[in-house]
Order: sequence, then structure tokens, then C-alpha cells
Amino acid sequence: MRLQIERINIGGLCAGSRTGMSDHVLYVDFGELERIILTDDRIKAAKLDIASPGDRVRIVNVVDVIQPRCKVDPGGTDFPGSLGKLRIAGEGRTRSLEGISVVLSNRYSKRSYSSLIDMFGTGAEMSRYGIMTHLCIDPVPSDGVGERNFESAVKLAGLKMAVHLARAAGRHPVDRTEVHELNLARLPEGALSHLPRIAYYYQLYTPQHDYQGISDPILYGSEVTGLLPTLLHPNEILDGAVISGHTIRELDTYTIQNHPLVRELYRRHGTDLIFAGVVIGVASLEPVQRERMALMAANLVSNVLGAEGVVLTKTHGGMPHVDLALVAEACENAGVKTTLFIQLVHGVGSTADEASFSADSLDAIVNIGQTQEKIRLPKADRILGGNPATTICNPDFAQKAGDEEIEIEGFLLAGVFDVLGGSKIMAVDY
Amino acid sequence: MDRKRLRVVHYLNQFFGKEGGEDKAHIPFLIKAGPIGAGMVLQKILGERGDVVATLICGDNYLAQGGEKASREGIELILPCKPDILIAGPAFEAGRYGVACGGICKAAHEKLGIPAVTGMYEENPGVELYRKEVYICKTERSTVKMAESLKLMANLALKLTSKEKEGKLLSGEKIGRPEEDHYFPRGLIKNEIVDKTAAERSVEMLLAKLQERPFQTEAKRPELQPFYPSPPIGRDLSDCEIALISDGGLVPKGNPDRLRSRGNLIWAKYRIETFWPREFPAAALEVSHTGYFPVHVLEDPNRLVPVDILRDLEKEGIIGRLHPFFYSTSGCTTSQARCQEMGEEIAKELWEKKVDGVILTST
Amino acid sequence: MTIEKAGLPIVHITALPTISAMAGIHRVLRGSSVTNVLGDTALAPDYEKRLQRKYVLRALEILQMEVTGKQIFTPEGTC
Repeated sequence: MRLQIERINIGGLCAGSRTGMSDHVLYVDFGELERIILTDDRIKAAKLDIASPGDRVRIVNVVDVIQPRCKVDPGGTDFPGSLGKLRIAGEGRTRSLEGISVVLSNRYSKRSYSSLIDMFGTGAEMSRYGIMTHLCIDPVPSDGVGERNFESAVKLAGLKMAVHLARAAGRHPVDRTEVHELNLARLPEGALSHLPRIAYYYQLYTPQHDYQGISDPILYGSEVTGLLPTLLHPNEILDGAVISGHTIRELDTYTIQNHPLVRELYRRHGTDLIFAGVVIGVASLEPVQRERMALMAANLVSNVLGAEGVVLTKTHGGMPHVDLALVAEACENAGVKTTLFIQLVHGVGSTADEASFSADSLDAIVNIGQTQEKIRLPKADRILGGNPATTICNPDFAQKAGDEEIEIEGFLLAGVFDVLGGSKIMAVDY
Repeated sequence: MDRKRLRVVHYLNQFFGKEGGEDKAHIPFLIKAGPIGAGMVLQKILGERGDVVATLICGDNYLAQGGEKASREGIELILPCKPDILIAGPAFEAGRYGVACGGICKAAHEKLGIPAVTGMYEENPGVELYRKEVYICKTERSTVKMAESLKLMANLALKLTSKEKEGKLLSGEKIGRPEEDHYFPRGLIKNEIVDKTAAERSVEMLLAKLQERPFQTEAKRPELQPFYPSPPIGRDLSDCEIALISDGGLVPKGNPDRLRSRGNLIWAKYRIETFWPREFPAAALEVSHTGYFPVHVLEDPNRLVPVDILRDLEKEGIIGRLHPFFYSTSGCTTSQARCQEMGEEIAKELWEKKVDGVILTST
Repeated sequence: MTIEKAGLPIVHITALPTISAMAGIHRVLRGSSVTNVLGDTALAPDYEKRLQRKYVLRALEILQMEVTGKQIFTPEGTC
């Protein structure tokens, strides 16, 4: 499979009378965008705003961040299964706009973990989104539309906008082209065959938070709770086959579109390693299923992909941690060396507290940081996606978006921590 | 930029404060303007960056034995000095002095909200007592190393009070790792901003592991001490009292004791007769735990806490009786240390109530 | 763990038994699912109640056992 991502740097995003590019600036006609969003009758109205770096703006109730992308080839579909017609993603040319994003807010969500983005001060300095310009979408449900149904409508609106913005950059020259080519079906020959085969185990999802008992559809538009381990070509992940669920928790669609670990394995493919492929799995609620998954995943890694080493990433949470460890242990037992990701959730104690594995073979651990570190943010002048009275989650005290100063746990700030390994943060014993 | 000169208060014991020797170990707090004795070395080290505005002196016995009450007296005395930081000692290997320094530093931090730094030799009992609460620089055994020790302490003090935001910690603090800034590990976990992404680090680590090159794991495995199993129930079950505990966050509707759904620190005990009505228990209960979606438990709480089953078994004479209280906590991201404490507290109660056996249910 | 260390017979029923076993707890009974540790929503209510009873009886049985090493119990035997 060969994927060519054509990246265009966008210097600015502004409201305009027509949607189109001019001199690296993307103009958007809000009226046109709103009309497109409102073709979904589950949405009654949609407030649109642009948030730029330096604006004293706080975006709340954030449920996803999506990079504007569209297929360039005729017949290519965007976010197949989630938005566009079902086709296998990961082949051909995809346009990607750099420096801007679509930020989705859902102020009607009653889930525990919606995120926040500040465009100024400490919050902006820490987050990768602090230096980008965002099209912020804040939709209102039509009467009688249920909570879960509205969530799907919000996601769909975001994907549509992401594609529409990318299409608007049509004639603009490409700034940077990234090619990802990997023929997994054919074993490497010659000099390359001496390189170690490294696979990636991608724990896609955990069902423990399935809101109202319903799973979020994230893989080609399908739910994945209970999915037995299977293979994906890494290009599928980079090209819209996988999107994020309805809450961020250190993982949003933007990050998946630019999957840091997949791109790192690609970067070193052919020089230091052979990228042997990707096994995807899902965390399990039941211990028997957990064991089954671990054995099957390890088998795919060792006997089907023929990997000598595997890197494993997890989603947010404690149960996913247990699951990941079991998969890693099974891989080690099958003769495959592992390196696995963990996250710390306490500021007091030691990094050893979180490595709750009993197997000695799990001795190569990467941590993505202490994700509950409290971060103080200054007063915002304007709130998007909510209002100054919007509650901002804090386990110790009540606070509102418009307060003089707010204190938030790091994992609720979009773009800071990253379960897929894109952040330059590491938790250390002090 | 005009950096403000730090206002430092220096704590010394009776000996280093030049009040006397062992014969004066009982003296209470006194305060003197400016630096005294080793404090003058400290002043020289600080130079333009700070002033030792006062020296707080106390007898070793008075403070080491006086505990928190004594520490508070000392803090009252230095309040008018408006210190930015307290530097105590260093105590080297002097045990009472070390405990005193640790105590006064802890009090300064808690009562005045200012950073506090002291220095001790690793075998000083003050280290284990206070290292989790206070910055203790590692010194040598001998007081001959006074100047070197004060340099380390001053360096740490300046970092702790620095308002500059560069530094490799996500929080913006300037403090370095224990081994870099020469202090005993505080038992804290801090986020550092590093050069490479976790993705880059993981691939590098895996290649090193495969190629049998050395690598540095980013989390060590826990060293757990095995312990002996508790004995089995020795009596006939039909004679026994069985208690139920759960960390799944089951609480009365309204969560009156405010068990937190994440990072919870408390446990509560509920009289089962009122907590769990015989008819429709689900209506009287809720779940405070963000680690799982509680829809199934809310339909039938017996799925998490089998009260009705045990009531049946009691009626049938299979068990003696169900302990009248249910112990509830919420275990989502509660620290290990707090979990252990809660376990001890609950164990004490169960022991006193002569419960024969316990069933603990989790998610 | 601390309750066991205090000498009280205790059994931990959990759907994440590897964590308890790793912490050194000696009487661990593997439950059904993280969101339903003593039950099974696929079963009809009567049958689910029987399953809950089976778990409790097994737990009581384990409380009366002398235990030595680390093992994870299931409703029928051990893992």
C-alpha cells in the first residue's frame, strides 16, 4: 500500500464571503458551513467561531479535534465508514492542512470527561493546539434528539467540516509531501532482511466507559467493543479508517491522523528496523476474554507478522493497563521482546507504583507522563463551546470556565498528553 | 530584569547559634537580626541574590522533643521577618538537630507557605522522617564541609524561589532531579519536558532491548514484600459473621458522605438495614466511580455487593449472620498509600467487631 | 492487602485478578466482568441470581481454606 500525504501550511483561518484559499490564508463562509452542518436534521443550529493563537479564548466542552483532510484521487472517500462510502483507507493521495483544525464542542454532553483548549497563557504554551488556528463548532440539538444520537451528529459535523476545509485548498501548491509505503505481504529481501522486524500493538479502545452501555463507533464506522485482535495496515490508521471516540482523554482524531508511533516506525523502516505491521485490539471487561485476546494478539504478532519486537500502546485507564500488560506478557512468552507504554496518575509515590505487572520480562517501559498533574490557567476573556458558568472538572473544588484562575488536571487539556507517544513529556521520580 | 533579593531566615541550634553547648540544649526559641556564625558563610554564598535577614535559634532538645507545638512557636517568631525561604542547619549527622531542622522546615512550609531547605547526612534519622515533606540536601558526615553544604542548600533555595519559567519541568518549577540538585528523593512524581517524544523513546528502547544494549526503563517494577496469608475461618460457617466491603463506589443516593468518583480518599460505613432496603434497593443507591460505567450495577446492586445473597444464606443457616454494616469506598485512582491506610482503618474496626470473614468485591 | 495482613480471613472478588495476585493477596476469586463482577447480563434474572449465589458460596468456601502460594480461584477451581 502506498499513501501520499500532501501537506499544505495554512497561515491563517478567517471568516470571509466565500470559502477558498488566498495566499496561504483559508477563508471560510460561515453561512455556507452552517448550511452544510444543518443538512443533518438532528442539529438545530451551529455556532461557528475562529480561535487563533494569542486570543484570550478558552474553548470548553471539547469532544474532538480533527485535522482538515480530503482524498485527492477521484473515487477516494474521506473517513470511510464514518463519513464517506466504505473503502479501504490508506492508498493514494490525501491532502492535509497544517496549522489549523476543527474543534468540536458538545455542551449537551453529560459525560465526565470533556476537554479544554486555551489559546493564550500557560494552556497554550503546553498544548500543541496553542499554536494552531481552529474552526470551533458548537452545535445545538434539535428537539427530541437523544444524547447519544446527538453525539453522532456532532462527530459527523466535524468530519464534514474537516473535509470541506481541505477541499477548499484545492489549487494551492503543496508545501511538503510525506510518502508511506509498506508492502506487508512480501517479506523484505537482501540487506533489509537482516533488520529486526518490529510490530505495533495498538490498543484502540476500552469499553469500561461505554456511556449508557453503548460503544463509540471508531473503526470504519463500526463499534469495537468485543473486537477480537486483528490486523490493520498502518496506512489505514493514518488515512481516516480510525477516529476517536466521543471524549478525548489524551487521544483525539487529530493525533490518530498523525499517529506518532506509526510515523516513527515508518521513519526508521529500512534503516534500523522492518515495520512488520499493526495488530489492533480492545481492552476487555471479562478476565476470560482478556486472556483470549492476549493470546490471540500475541499469536498475530509472533506467528503471523513474524515480529521479533513489539511496541504496545494503551488507552486511558487502569483496566487497559492490565490488558496491555497481559498482551505484552503473552508476546514475551511467545519470544517477542516488548516495550510498553504506561501513564502515571499520581503526583506522590514512585513511578514503580503504576507498573502493576508481575512478569519480569516487562522491563522496558515508556511513560507518557503523570497525566493528572494539576495545571493552573489564567482568566479567559471569552469562552467558546460553553459560557463562563460552564463547570470545569476539578476533583477538589467547584470551578467555572470564567473564574479568575482555574486548576485543571493535565489529561483534560487537549494536546498536552498523548497516549500514542507524540508528547515530549516523561514522568520522573523526584 | 530586576530580581528581588531573597529574604532568608536561617535556623540554627544552640551550638551553631553560639548560645552554648549541650548545657543549652533546652533553651527555647530566640531570634536575632542578620546572620550568625555559619550564617555569615551562607550570606557570602548568597551574595547579591539574598539577605539572611534573621537567625532563628533553638535548643536541640526543646525543638526535637517539643514537636509541632514547638515548631509553631518558632514560626510565630519569624513571621514578622516576611521570609521568602527558611534554610535550616545543615545538621550533618547530629540526630536531634536533624529532627529539629526537619520539623521547623515542615512547619515553615505548612504554616507560611514558603519553601524550606535543610541539609543532613544520609544516616541522620531526620532524613527518613522528613524527606517526603521537606527538601533535605545530602551532606557529608563532617561539619568541616559546612561551606560546601551551604552552597548546595543555597542553590536549591534559589531554584525553589525562582520565578523564571524556563526549566525542564512541565510545571515551570526550576528544581532539578534529586541526583542533580543533591537532595534526598521526595517521593514525588513530576513531569519533565524531554528532547524526544515517547514514540521515539519507545522504538529506541525496544531496539536496545533486542540488541542487548543497555537501556533505561521509565518506570521500575514495584518491589512488593510478600506476606503470610491470613488464616482460614476456623469455626463452623453457620456460627460466623461475614462482612462485605467494596471499592466499586456504591453509596446511598445523594452520596451524603461525598465519596469522590475519582481520587477518592475516604471510606464510609452504612447500616445495611437502612442503606439497602429489602424492596427495590437499586432506587436507594448510586455509584460514585468514574472507572467504569455503572449501568449494570445500578440495575441490580447485588452484581457488585451481594447483600441479598448473604441475607438468604443467613436465613438458611448457612452463615451465622451478615455483619450489619457495609463498608464502601471508591477505588478509582486512589493512591496506594491511602488505600493501605483505609485498609488498616477498616481492618481495625472489623477486628474489634469480631467479624470472622470478609468478602471484598471490586470491579 | 492490609486487611489480610491484619490477620482477617478475606477473599477478593474482582474482574482484574492479576492485580490482586501481584499485590500478594492470597485469596482472589476471579469475577465475571468489570461492570458486573458477580453477574452476567446475558443470563435470565433467575439464572443470574444463581450465579451470584455460586460466587458467594465459593467465596465462603475459599475463606475456609488454608492457602499457601499465589493462585487465582474461579467459581469451579483455579486459573
